[in-house]
Amino acid sequence: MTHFLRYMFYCLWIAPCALQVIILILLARRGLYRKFPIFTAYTAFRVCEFVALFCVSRSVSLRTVYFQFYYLGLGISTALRFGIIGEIFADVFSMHGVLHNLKRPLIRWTTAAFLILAFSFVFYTQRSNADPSWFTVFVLDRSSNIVQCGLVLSLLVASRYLRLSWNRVVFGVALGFGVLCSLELAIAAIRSQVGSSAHLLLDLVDMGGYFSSVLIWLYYLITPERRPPSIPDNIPDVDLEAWNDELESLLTR
Amino acid sequence: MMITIILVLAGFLSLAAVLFLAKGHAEPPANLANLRKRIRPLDLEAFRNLIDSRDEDFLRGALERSQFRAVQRARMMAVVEYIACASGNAAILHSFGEAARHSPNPSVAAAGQRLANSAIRFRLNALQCVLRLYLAMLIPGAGVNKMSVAEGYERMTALVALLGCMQYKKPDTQISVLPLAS
Repeated sequence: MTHFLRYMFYCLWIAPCALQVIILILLARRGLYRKFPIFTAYTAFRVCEFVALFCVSRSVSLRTVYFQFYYLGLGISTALRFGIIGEIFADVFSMHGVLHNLKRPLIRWTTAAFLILAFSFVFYTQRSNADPSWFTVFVLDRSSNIVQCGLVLSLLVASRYLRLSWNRVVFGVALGFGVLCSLELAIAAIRSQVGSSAHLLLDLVDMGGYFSSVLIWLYYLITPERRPPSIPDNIPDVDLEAWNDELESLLTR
Repeated sequence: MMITIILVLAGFLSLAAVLFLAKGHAEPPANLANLRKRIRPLDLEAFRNLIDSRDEDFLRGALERSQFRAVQRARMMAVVEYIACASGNAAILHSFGEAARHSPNPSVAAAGQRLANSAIRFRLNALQCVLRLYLAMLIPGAGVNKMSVAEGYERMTALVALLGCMQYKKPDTQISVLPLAS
């Protein structure tokens, strides 16, 4: 590892953690940990994970268990990420009571569709020359990223079509996860194929992606909520609701 | 190796899609006065004629089967166009509702919330209707729940009334205006 790459590696490893400490402070000061408990837990977990992995990597006696720690952390953070996506869905749909009946089917069917897609990719993936444990872990990671990408994208598409308004912080979290899952999907796919060769380059891209996501979360936490457009003097008095009831009764007849 | 290439491409496409979808959200709120100009007036009578099942029965009897299918397909495409236009209008009304939802006046905020919710419901219902129409176009005489084309049209009748409500420019059918400045 050249001096520059080593410097980059440590910067990209340490900087997100430092920023996540700031995110934790902001979440605590603004009381957002009550609204987003899983996101708060995820952020705290990633900080603790960094500290543990950093200590293990610096200790000669513990270096052999580094990957066991890493795999454990990957498993826990994957579970927490699914929780965060659930939290995002819950927040977006709670702001629009009319969509109450759409939330569960959207989550259920999108998850089912992308699980089938992920498992079909597992089925057709040829075993590479990579270490078997690497291969298994990164194929699983790849599968979870496919489902997470699918969920975030489906929410963004539905939100765009229905013009749903978002809480700024929730939007930032969703955007950060969308970026992170997409990049990690590509990286996990390459890793499952090449194993530990090109390890450093992939690590740098992976850490760069994570750093970008943390920056997005921080940006949306720091910047204030956008002011809504000024209220017009009048709005069209359209009795959409009554007609919608009629339309729904016709559609379900 | 092919799977890896597909997944890497999927990852980058997903990234591009996320950024594209986020771009719309990050844009500043549209000027509502300008938005109002974008509401497209719809010819309600023409739409009513288009979905009239008696017209369909007449065409079915007067035309050969292949001709009828072609005409029917064109009519359905026109219905889809109408619904798409109405859906666009609903999106604009949603913006009005969203703006009013933030009003300090509780009654205005409640009216805004109702309008926004109605617009969302309309767009959901319109999506279902359009999907059913496309299905009916692909499988003539069939559809979701074996819905016939005629039934599909019948279900569209609620949209007709809704389109009437959303008509904007004709003085005789112009929608009323709810004052918000109180």
